[in-house]
Amino acid sequence: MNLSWGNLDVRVYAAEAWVSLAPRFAADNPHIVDMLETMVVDPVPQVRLQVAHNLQVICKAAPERMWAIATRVATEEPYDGVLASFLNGFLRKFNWAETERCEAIIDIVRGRMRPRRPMHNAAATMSRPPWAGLLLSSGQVRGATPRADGSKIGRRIRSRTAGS
Amino acid sequence: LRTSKVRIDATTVQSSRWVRNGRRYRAAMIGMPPDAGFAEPGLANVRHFLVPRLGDADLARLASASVPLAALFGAAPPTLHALLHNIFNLSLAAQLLADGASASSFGAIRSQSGLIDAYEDERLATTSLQQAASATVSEMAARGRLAVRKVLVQHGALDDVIQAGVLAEAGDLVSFTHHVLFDHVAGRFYLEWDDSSRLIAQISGDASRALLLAPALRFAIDRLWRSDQPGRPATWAQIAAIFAATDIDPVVANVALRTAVENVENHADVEGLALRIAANPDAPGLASLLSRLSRFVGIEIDTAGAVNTDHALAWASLAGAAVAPATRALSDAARFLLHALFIKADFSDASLLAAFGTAARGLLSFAWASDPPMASTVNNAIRFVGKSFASEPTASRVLLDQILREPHFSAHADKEATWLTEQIMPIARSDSDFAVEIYRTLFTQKITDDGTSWFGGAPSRILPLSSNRRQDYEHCRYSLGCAMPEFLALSVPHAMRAIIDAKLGKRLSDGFAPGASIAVTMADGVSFALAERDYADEAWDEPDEERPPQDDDMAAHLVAFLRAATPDQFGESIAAAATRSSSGSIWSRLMGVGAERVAEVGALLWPYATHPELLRHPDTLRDAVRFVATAYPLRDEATRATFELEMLSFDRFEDDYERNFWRTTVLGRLLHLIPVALLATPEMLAMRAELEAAEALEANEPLSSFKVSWGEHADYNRNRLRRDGVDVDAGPDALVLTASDALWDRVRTTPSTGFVASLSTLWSDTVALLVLLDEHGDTLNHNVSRPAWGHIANAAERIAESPAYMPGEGGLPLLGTMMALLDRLSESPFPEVREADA
Repeated sequence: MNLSWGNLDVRVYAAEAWVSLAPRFAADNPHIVDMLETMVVDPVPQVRLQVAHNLQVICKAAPERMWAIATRVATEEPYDGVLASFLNGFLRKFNWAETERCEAIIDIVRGRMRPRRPMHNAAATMSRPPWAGLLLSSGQVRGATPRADGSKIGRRIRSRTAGS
Repeated sequence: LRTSKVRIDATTVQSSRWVRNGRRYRAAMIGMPPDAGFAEPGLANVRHFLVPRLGDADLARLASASVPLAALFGAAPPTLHALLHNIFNLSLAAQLLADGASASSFGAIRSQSGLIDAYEDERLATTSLQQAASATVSEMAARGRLAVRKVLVQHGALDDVIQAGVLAEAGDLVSFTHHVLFDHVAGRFYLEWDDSSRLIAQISGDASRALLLAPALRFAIDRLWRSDQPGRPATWAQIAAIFAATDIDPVVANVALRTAVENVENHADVEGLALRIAANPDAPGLASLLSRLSRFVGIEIDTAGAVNTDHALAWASLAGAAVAPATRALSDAARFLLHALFIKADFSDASLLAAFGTAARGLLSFAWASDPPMASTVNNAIRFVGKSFASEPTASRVLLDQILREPHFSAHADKEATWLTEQIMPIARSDSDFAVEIYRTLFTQKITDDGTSWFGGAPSRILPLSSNRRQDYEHCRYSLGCAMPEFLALSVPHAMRAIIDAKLGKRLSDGFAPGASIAVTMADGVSFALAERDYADEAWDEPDEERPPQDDDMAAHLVAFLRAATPDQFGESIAAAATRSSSGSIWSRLMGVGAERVAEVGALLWPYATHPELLRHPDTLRDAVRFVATAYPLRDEATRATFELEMLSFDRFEDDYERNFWRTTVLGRLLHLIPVALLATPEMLAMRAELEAAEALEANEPLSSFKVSWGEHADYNRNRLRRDGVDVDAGPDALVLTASDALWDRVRTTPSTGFVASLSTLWSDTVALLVLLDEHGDTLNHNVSRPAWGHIANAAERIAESPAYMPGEGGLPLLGTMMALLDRLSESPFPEVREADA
């Protein structure tokens, strides 16, 4: 599944609008933060994505609620694409300013990563969660390095695999 | 002005060229043409009568009226016969006949000059008469006039020349009876064609005098050519001297050069010039001579529409001579000569091909080494070398290979590769391996530079057209694609390799990672590597209504070829695809077309189509299944049983996903197509029953497909609604639809960076639509209300994100109003929750 949406997806646009209003008006209008909190658990990932990706919009108006929402996303967000966007879009912005909070959130996500099993090289690339790159680049996780392509030819069929 | 005339029956005869171009002539003869049937177009106000070239009927009439003329026409060889259609030439011949010449004495005459020679030999039979005629020319040349006073001609035989009819007197003046006679007498008796330095002196200096003598020079050079030795050294020396002289009018020099060019018949005729180039390539005037010569040759070939092999060989040899010294000035002539031949010559003659190839390679090597660069010459020379590749395949390949290699490639391929690929077939016919290498390289490498490139090399001041380097480069791929049918006809193994390498290369150059490949090893030891999925069009056999077949679509060319191929050619195609790295999209076509021709090629393809890797590769699965199902009735029971047991050995797969994919997608599709009665084993029958019970027999559709169409959305949408029974012309649905479309147009044209005024209009349109929705909400068609709410959400988001939005100002909503709207929108049922989201 991809994370695209169309211009008739009303709640996606509503979520975007709440996100847009937040930096300027959320401090005096806590309803905006309430709505963000509501929409970040919307049943449709495209709606959740708008908030998860831009959660920093309430860092001035409601910092503690922001981290609470972030923790909930890290803990509960079921969809890899949204989680990746959350890590790359939101969390990256706080890498230096809030290192400990970031590490805590990354630990949560790491804990949710499925154990890896050896698999066909391309399949491994495809099924690796897209946010795994962030974890690697932030130095928190050391994943298995890809094996040389040559060793992968034909290893999907046991009967034709020699020594792998 | 030159005045030339002969008196015939008291009628003034003028060259129509002079009348047409001479204002004073036209003024002197003002009036109406007496016969519109014999009038020159454009000379309606000039009293004139056009004497056309005589037709065969005219000559026949003359023959019936004159026995000597009849004898002449009967005896004249074709060239002389053609000359006699000109009334001036005919009059000379008639006068010679009247003087007692016999018809047979004309037999050796091949040209107008020869005819006039005969006339002069008859009428100016003594040296004294010839001297008198020459002295007359001398006076005329000195004064720049074609009529002079008789007393000025200091020769005692002048009256005899007049008496002979060569000169005519008009009072005290004397002139030649025809301007061509003046030209010929001047060229033969006055101009010193046998003494170079004196001839130069005669035609240099005063332009009007030189131009008066220019037609005579033509006869003089012609005479020199005829009397010259093989190789024409004296003629070329004379012309070289004319071009080296500093005070000879270019028109005069061109007359001499063009005369020589027209006389060239074979390779030997230009040897004298080639030797001069080799001896001193920097000689003054030589570059100019060669440049103009090449243009004259171009005009000559263009006019004739073709060039015979002897001529072509002469010019190719001369081009080689001009290239050999490797000087920039002479390379222009070589380029032009080769280009004229490139367009028109027939290169089936080996000696011509060799001479052309030598010159072409020399030119390309020189142009590449030149500084400053000679881009245009390089481009031409690449085409020439490609066309003459067969003349010297090794040397040609060494040269052309440079186009493909870095750093040369990145610097020049946008300009050079297209010309290389234009000649892909001449190259392939000599060196198919190199042709494959060209396909592989040009599809793997690319130019990514979007920098502007100008048509013609520089911005035109009249119609500047530009492209960019990337686009320019991509044209080479188009040429290669278009050439594929011819390549397939030439060599199936090479063309197949070229298609596969191009496919694999294109995937890389499109930015896909090389990916892992899958080894396919056959029972007979044949082995090849199948590339990762390239997302090629799986539904290759379904016509695309929106996109007609493209000329450069290599895969489509392959399909057409396979459909018409002999079984042997089909076998060659399979063998070529089963080597080294291969492509799933090629195998899909082999098996797909194989399914159409299963009786002929089924046995060839069966071992491949039943290989597990081809059966489950996403690019080949659909066509492998199709082929196996089609071929199944033709296999014997033992073969089918072996296949079925092989298909059921699930333990070969490492994980559940792969096992499940094999079971449902591969077996599910196969068993959906293969009739139950043909299944040979109880195990497979059981599997079929199991899949059927689980509703896992699936249609053999493409694994992925997409469709693109275009048109005005509003029209499309309204038509769709109309089909659904919605009244889009009146009533609530129509009202909302119109307001909704209008709002969407407003959203599209209002940027979030816009001013308050435009945002305010957007808001008022939003409110207007909201009112309509609230009023008619319950009665609206779903397909009307949903877009309306979508557009309201789009508008609200646009306003909210705008830095210009200040609540309550400039007609924009208060924050409370905005939030109330967003609350409503946040409760919208759209987007709907899909199963995958839940």
